[in-house]
Amino acid sequence: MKRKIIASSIAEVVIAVTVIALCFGIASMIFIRSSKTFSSFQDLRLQTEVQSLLWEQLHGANVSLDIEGVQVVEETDENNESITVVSFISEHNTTIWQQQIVKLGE
Amino acid sequence: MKRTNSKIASSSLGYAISFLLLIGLVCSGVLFITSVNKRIQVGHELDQHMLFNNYFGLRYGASTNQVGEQNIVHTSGDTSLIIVKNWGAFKVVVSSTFHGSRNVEKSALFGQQTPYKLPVLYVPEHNQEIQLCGDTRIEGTVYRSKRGFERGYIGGQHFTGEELVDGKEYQSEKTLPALTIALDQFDLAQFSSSATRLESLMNDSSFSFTEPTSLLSSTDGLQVSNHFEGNLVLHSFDSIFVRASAQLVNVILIAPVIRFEAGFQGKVQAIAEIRITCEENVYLDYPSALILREVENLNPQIQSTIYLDQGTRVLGGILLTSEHPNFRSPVHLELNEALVAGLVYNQGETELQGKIIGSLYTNQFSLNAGGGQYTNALLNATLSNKLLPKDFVMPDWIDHEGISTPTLLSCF
Repeated sequence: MKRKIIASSIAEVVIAVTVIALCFGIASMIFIRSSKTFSSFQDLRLQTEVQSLLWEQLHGANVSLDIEGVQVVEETDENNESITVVSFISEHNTTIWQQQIVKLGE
Repeated sequence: MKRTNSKIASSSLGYAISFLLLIGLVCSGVLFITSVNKRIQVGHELDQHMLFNNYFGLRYGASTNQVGEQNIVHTSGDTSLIIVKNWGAFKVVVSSTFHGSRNVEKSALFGQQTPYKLPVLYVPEHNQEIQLCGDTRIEGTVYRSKRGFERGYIGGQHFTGEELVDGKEYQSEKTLPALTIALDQFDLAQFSSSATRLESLMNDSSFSFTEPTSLLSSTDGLQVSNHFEGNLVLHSFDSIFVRASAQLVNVILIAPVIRFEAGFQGKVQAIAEIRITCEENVYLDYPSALILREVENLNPQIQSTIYLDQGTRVLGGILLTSEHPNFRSPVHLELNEALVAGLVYNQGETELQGKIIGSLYTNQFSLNAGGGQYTNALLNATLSNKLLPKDFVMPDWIDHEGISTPTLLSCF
C-alpha cells in the first residue's frame, strides 16, 4: 500500500527538529559555561591543603609551604617592603591562593 | 493548477515548543543554581581571605612591635587597621579587617622570642663572692663577680652539691644590663587617658581588646572576688585584695599594695609601688607579671617588697625597680619555697629560698636564716634554665643580641 507523506508535515518536522537542535545547542552551551565557573575538585583540594599549612604558619608553627603539584611564587609587596606576597599556582596555571607573609628579620 | 489552502499542522511543532519550554525551564534552573553557588563560593572565599588577612594583620602588628596604628591593603582587596598598644609587661595587637560591609576583628597578646638564651644568673661585679649553702643548684650560664662562688655553712647546712655551678661562668659588668622598656608604660596615666571609666563592678564581665580599655579607679581599698577577663584595669590609691574565689584573666591591677589570697589562680599583671604579696599556693599562670616600681621610699624602715609564700607559682616575669635606690633599704624580692618560671629582674636584693626556672638578674642576694642576716648567700635555692620550654617567651625587658621573633601568646 502506497503511503504519501504530506508536504506540510515535512516542513513541520524540519522546523521542529531545528528548534529542538537550537534548544539543545543553547542548553549545552549554558551547561558547559556554568560548570566551567567552578574550580576543579583537584584545585579545591590543593587550596584546602595550602590553607591548612598557612594557618599553622600564621599561628607560629615553622612549616614548609612546599606542596606537590603547587608552584610557590614569592614577591615583595608593592606597598610594603617588609611584606612578601606568596602565590600558590596549580598545575592548571590557576592561582589557588595568595597570602601576605611578614618577612623574617624585618 | 489548483492550489489548496493548506495549513501546517501544529502537532509536531507543538511538541517542539513544549520541549523548548521544558529545556528553557531546565536551563533557567541550572543558571539559577550556578548563580547561587557562585555567590556562596565568592562569599565563602571572601570570609576565608578576611580571616587569613586578619591573622596576618595580628602577626604584622606583632612584628613591627611599635605602639600605634597602621593600615594595610591586602592582595585580595581587604584592608586591615592594626593597633598595637602596651598592656603592662606585654603588648596587645588588635587587627580589624574590612571588605565592604563585612568586618572581622581579633586581638592578641604577644611577646618577643629571642634567639639568644639569657643567662640563668646575672649578678653585677661587687667584688664579693656568693656563698652557696644546703641543696643549692645553679644550672646554666652565669655572669658573676670575679670572686665567683664558694661553699658556705649557714643555718647548720653545708653545701651538698658536687660542683658549685653546672654551666659556663663569665665575669659580669659593674651594673645590671639596662632595661629596654620605658617604665612609664606601667603608669596609670598610660591607661587612663583613653579609658572608659567604670563606676562599679558588681557582675562577672569580659572586656574586649577591640574596645577602649575599661578602668575602675577607687580611692578606697578594692576587694576583687568576681570573674573579670580582658581589657580591664583595676586601680586603687590604697590597696587591692584579690580573693581566692576571684577569676582574673589578662587583667591589670595597679595599687601601692596588692595582696593575693591563698589559693588564687589566674593570669594577671600586678603593678605596685610598695608591696605585692602572694599568700600560699597562689598560681599566676602564663602570661603573668609582678611589677614593683618604687617611685620614692619615704620611709626607709619599710622595704618595698614582693613576697611569694610557700607553694606559689608565677609564670611570666617579675620586675623590681627603684627610681631612687637606697642601698640601706633596696627593693626586695623574697621567695619562700615558691617557684618562678620566666624572667626576674631585680635592681635590689633577692632572698631566694625557692626555685627560679629561667633567668635571674639581681643586684645582690640576701638571706635570713639560722637567726642571722647574710648578704650574697643562697640556701636551698634552685636556679636553672634547663627545664624551661624552648618556646617559652620571656618578657622583652633586657637588650639582647640577634633578631627577636614575634610570638602570639594568646588570641581573643
